[in-house]
Amino acid sequence: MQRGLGVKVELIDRAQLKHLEPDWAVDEVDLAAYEPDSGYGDGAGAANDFLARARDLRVMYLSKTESSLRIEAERVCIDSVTATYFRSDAQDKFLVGDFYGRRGADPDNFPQRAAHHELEEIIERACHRVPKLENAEVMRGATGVYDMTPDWRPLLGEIGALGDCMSAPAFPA
Amino acid sequence: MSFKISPAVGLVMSELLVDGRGKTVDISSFSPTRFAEGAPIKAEFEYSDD
Repeated sequence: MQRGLGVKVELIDRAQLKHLEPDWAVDEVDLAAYEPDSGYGDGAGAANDFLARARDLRVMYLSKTESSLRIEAERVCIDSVTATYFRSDAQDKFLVGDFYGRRGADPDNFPQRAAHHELEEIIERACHRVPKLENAEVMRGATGVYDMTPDWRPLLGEIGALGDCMSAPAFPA
Repeated sequence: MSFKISPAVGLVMSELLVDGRGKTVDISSFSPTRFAEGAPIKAEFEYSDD
């Protein structure tokens, strides 16, 4: 389906993954999904940069106008084996997150800092995939509430009880 | 966070508003009423942390 919509996505085997990421330990990986055009982009930063530059250039807004962009993005890995995702910040830092499914959380009262033992555990899992991280230092940890629908899919469409109100929340934006 | 599916959601929501339905892809299964109707989305290969 993704290919039918024009998304460049392919399944690669262990050897191909090792070629892409020579520093990763991939012995137990049989297959990986690879999207050459995908990666991390800072949405708010990009929008603000466009706005600032447009103001500098005294740009006039024209609707229904196409332009072309050159996109460079940092590769992101979503590792379902170690339940971690990680990416470089394009300089000298590395962000590691976990996506352990459902946890109860009070949005008005949840831990504001990642506990030391939780960081240790995430780092251990990330090191399983990227052994070089064993030499890395932890700069800081962050927590947050990630709101999801029960089936993990977005809500797109009309909210019946509110008449003409359309909704498009609850997707990982 | 990054961009992820935001551009695609913007496109299909504009189609829903203007044309009454998602034209690029069918988004009817994402209806906000699906939980009340007992029809959550079940994919062939689900995410799982079991």
